Amino acid sequence: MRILVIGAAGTVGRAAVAALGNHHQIIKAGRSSGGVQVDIADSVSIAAMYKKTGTLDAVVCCAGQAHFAPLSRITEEQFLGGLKNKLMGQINLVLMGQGCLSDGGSFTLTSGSLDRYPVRQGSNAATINAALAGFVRAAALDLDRGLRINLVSPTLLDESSARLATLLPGHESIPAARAGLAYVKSVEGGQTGQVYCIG
Amino acid sequence: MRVLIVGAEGTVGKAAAAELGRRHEIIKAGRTSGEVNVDLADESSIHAMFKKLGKLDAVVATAGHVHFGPLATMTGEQFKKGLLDKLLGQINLALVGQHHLNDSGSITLTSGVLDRDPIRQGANAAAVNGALGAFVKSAAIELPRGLRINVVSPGLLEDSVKKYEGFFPGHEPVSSARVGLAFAKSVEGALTGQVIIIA
Repeated sequence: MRILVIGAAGTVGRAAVAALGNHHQIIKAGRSSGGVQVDIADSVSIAAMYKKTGTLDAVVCCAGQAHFAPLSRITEEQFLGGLKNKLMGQINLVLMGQGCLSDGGSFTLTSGSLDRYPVRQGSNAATINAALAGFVRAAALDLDRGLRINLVSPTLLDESSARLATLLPGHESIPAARAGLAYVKSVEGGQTGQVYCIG
Repeated sequence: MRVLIVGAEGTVGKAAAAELGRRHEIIKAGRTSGEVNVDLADESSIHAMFKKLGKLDAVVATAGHVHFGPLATMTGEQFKKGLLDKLLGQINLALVGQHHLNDSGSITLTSGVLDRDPIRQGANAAAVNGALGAFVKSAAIELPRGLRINVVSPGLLEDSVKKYEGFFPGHEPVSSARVGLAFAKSVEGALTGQVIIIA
């Protein structure tokens, strides 16, 4: 399969690429790394990327940033910044990419565990993660030509725990490789409309 | 209690006002109707409303529109409209409103059935509803002074069956009275961080 992986240089992206293995053609995309450059918060940039990548069998997105800040101080601008990046960015990848997928092709997006297990300062991330889940469940009903869509929702990764452990007290971390497997399930399997909670 | 209802003239707003009005002082707000006018898409309009009203015991939001349309033709702009209106509008009300509530006061938002039980053309609604559920779950763990926050997620209302004919195949409609009770549960009860499902 020809698989576009956006955010391929990140911790989750690298795990997804590793798990998808050598038997696929992987096109890596990123903001400043990879074979194709894309800023998912900018729909013009997404359109330019799809023009370059041609017909694909799978689009995997492991990119997107939420805004972390205390509820008492988070501003509308900060909240909207997270929505535009991690939520609207991934949704635009689907809305604009439908025509680029071959029959039976798939989208796999990435959320995270903070809607299931919220933490202080995490209201923007929680909002985005659950929005992605709602989107995927409903979008699966509308996609035609056997196109599929799933969402990977990993918890804290071992690889990030040194940096994030104080923000997520008591959260058990998982190896990124476990999250990577979920992308294989989505891309090579037949499921659609699913949220894969890892950890 | 002094209870502000934003969107009081809508179908859900009327249900909330009918039940809460039996026991509380209701202040009705709306974009063009009610005692106070407010545009939830405009933060300065929200600030002006709260300045006018003074301290409150409960803020209830029953306002917000989403975009309905097939995924295949949906644009990012259309999707964003729903995010800004129903999602960020209610979140704005909560972010500003938290500073105008008396101790132990409450915020009650409104989502809907489509994240739990999606329909065709409902991807925007599903994303917005799921996002609101996670927002209250996460915001609840940060609110100080005994402040509480919940979201009411009603099924298709009996009063809306005609308007949405054909869009909700097999969905069992719920009565306004039952939906009204959910708002009383949030405002008068002690729950916080909950999605109150009326199915």
